[in-house]
Amino acid sequence: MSKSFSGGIHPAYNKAMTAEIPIADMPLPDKVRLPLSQHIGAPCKPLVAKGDTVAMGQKIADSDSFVSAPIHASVAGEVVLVDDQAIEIKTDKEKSRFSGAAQSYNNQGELRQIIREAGIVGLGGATFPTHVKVTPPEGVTIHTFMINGAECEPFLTTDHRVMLEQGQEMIAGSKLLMEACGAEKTIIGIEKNKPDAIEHMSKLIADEPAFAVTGVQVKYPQGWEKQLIKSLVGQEVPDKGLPLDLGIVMNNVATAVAVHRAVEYGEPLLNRVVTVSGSGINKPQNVRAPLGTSVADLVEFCGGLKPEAAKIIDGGPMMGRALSTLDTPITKGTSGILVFNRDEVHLFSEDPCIRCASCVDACPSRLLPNYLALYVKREMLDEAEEINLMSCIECGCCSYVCPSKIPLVHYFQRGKQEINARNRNQ
Amino acid sequence: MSEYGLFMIFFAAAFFNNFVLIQFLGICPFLGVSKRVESSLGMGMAVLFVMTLASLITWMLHEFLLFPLGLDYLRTITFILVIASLVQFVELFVQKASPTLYKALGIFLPLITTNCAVMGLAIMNVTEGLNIIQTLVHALGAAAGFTLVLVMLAGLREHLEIHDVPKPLAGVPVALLAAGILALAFSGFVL
Amino acid sequence: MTDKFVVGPSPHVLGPKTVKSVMWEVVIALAPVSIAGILLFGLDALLVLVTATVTAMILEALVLHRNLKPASILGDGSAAVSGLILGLILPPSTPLWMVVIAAAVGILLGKHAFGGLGNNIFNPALVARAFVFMSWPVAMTTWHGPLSLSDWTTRVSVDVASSASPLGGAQHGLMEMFLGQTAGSIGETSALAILLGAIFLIVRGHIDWRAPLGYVGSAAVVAAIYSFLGGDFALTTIAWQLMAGGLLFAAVFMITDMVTSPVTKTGRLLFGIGCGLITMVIRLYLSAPEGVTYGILFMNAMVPLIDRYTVPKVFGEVKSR
Repeated sequence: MSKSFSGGIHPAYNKAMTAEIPIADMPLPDKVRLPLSQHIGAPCKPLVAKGDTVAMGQKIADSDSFVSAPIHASVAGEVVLVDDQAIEIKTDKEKSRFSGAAQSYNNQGELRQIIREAGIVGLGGATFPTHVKVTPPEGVTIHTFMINGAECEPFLTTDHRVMLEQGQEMIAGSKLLMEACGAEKTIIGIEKNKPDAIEHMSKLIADEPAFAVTGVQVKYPQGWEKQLIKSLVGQEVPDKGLPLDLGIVMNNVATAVAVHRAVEYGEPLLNRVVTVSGSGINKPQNVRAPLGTSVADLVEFCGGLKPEAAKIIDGGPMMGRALSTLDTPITKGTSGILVFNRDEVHLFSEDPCIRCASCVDACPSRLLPNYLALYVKREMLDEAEEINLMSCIECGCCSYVCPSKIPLVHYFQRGKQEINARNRNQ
Repeated sequence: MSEYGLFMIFFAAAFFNNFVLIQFLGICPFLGVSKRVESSLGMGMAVLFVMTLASLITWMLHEFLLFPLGLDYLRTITFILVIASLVQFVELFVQKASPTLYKALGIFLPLITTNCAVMGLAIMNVTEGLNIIQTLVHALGAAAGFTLVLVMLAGLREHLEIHDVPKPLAGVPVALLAAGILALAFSGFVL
Repeated sequence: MTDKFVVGPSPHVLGPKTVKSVMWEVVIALAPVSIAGILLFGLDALLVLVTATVTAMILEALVLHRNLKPASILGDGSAAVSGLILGLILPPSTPLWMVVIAAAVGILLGKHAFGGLGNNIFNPALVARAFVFMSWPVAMTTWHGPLSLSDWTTRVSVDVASSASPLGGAQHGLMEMFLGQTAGSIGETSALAILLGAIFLIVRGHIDWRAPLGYVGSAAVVAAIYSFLGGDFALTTIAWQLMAGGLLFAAVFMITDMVTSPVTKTGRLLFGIGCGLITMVIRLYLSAPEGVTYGILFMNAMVPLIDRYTVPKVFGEVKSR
């Protein structure tokens, strides 16, 4: 019996479209647009001005806040726009080569500083600054480090390919992260629909006594941090708490690779692997693209859109964000760009709730989505908070199973916003 | 009823002869207080207190004073005096012990005086020829049945409030319909 | 290349179930029971079922859509389900005008007065049955035994050919009761047909095991205690009790009615147990012939309270509160 958690759903995975194709490096785009906020925490402030020439890998924005991460130029070139939202650079293709040196450190603090300076954030999509994650507060000891290789969202295969192609780098990065947070052992959790990754990883860690690979049940949202921890060690992270509270730190596969590259080559976060997939794109594949590349350039590299393409999604189909234009940049958190055809797009139409409780059975947080939606619709925010609206992780399982097609996550997002606004005003 | 066992008296008062849904007594607080589950529980406790004490005191009054002296025709007025005084006492107590409950119950607390369920119970104890233990159990059963049904209706009304009841029926009308169907459900408990 | 893309909230893929698919699959699950009822009780049963179902669908079309177009009459399938279930819990010899009134009461009072699909508290078919039972008790307790093939097309009048149902005292062996060769309401007699329907619903994921198991389990326990105290304890007695009357039918099709049962997992179990207890207490200790209707209606009224007090602990809930 596979290890798992209660609730969850089993959507069609559609990973075969891109899982077997090696990662392609796309050519440099003509222009990149780097938003100042690509992470959780305080947005950065620009360090360059319009007209400046920047080198590839140069730090161009930073923040004084602890929970933040600097932004680097992903290409060399001339800064053509600086405003309070983003920095745009016109690429100088000749000069866009990164050169850096190995970084050395004497202690945990210095290692964490290297991670910070490289602008590394959680690349699974949460974009939480990594150096903050590996710095536990006073009195908390971390004993286990975990690598999140679940990748539960349908269509996405970026972590899968990175594990297969950059597995050694990932192990090296994991060792650094283990050192940074002080853990004694590492568990790599991989969903069982990736047997080749499980086998490859097991081989790589054969001589590493501190490492273990565990296959977990294929279920969405297995890759959500708290659910994966439950599946791997059977413990539940406290509702309003963090894995730190259990002495655990978990990072994504690509984050570990980035940490290795930061220390080994002095390379900051300049690019990331994005799964371009879906029935509306001509050549679905995984692409390594410089941060700030526009989705339009990425789509063109993948053969362009099919004529019936109707919806573009940044991320996975369950939690991703629909884009209104292709003129949007790839950021540190963009794990996928999905293109859906017209006949796959569901337009809004809500039937009455029939209290079938499919949502209650599917919710991984053990909430009562039908009542929450009822309360939010009637502005009964106290009652909604009482039955734990704020613990909703917006995974979308409830909306997926609802036969009445009620946009539950949408209501919860609104309700949470209103509760936060109300709490702020008090 | 006086030939039934104690368990049967309790059960009869709570279910087969439920004061609200079968005998249709005490409808006023049933509809007036059943908007919230918390206030319904409080009301139930108040009614339990009044019903039990009123039953005992009126029974003793009847047994040792009215009946021996042939003053049965004074039953109604003496019983109501007893009930009114007890309710006054309960009112003072609730006001002190739980001001929120006092406010939530509002006018319905003093209205327990005119609650035909309490009066009906007191009279029934006497006309059915129950002894004092049976009277006590009868009162407890009646109060239990009253509270149960009150709390159930409160749950239903809170539920109806957050659902899309058609506008002409929203509020009291649909509560009456729900109460009616609840009475239909209780009609299955026949001895 | 178009630059006009559809934008909407996540998730962007939705599951295959719709209200219509759920409702019509329940109708399919009711097919074995309906066919068994028609085979056993003849033309009468067919007319009752058709009248109940069609009346329910027409009334709902009028209330919701104010017209009688085919799409409105088919609706989302929920009226068909309520109507068919109502027909299945009526005796086969019910006069058709009574069936029409029952369907009207069920759909209009039991469902739409409360706000329509998803808003009703009480099971519409049971509201209808309780109403009709109280108004015309004789018609509701007049049964006739299963027909032979030669009698199949005759419309049996209420006074002639009535016989007792198992709960009314008729003696039947267990196999007879399993196959359905006893008197009773149209859908209630054949345990076999009911089980077929149950298997379909379980496979399609429309019913949760908790409520039915709680119901059948608690009923079995009460029956066991009763027979033990009565001195004739035997497993066959318990099986007999379970197959008599509408208990199995209710366990599969009425306890599991989504709108009127609790939403939480523990709640569903408690709901089933409560219904089972009340049903058996009424059957064994009180003089009503059948306790299923009242047990379920009573527990329907408890559902808001059950939901309120069985809210599950959220993932990672810290006990220190």
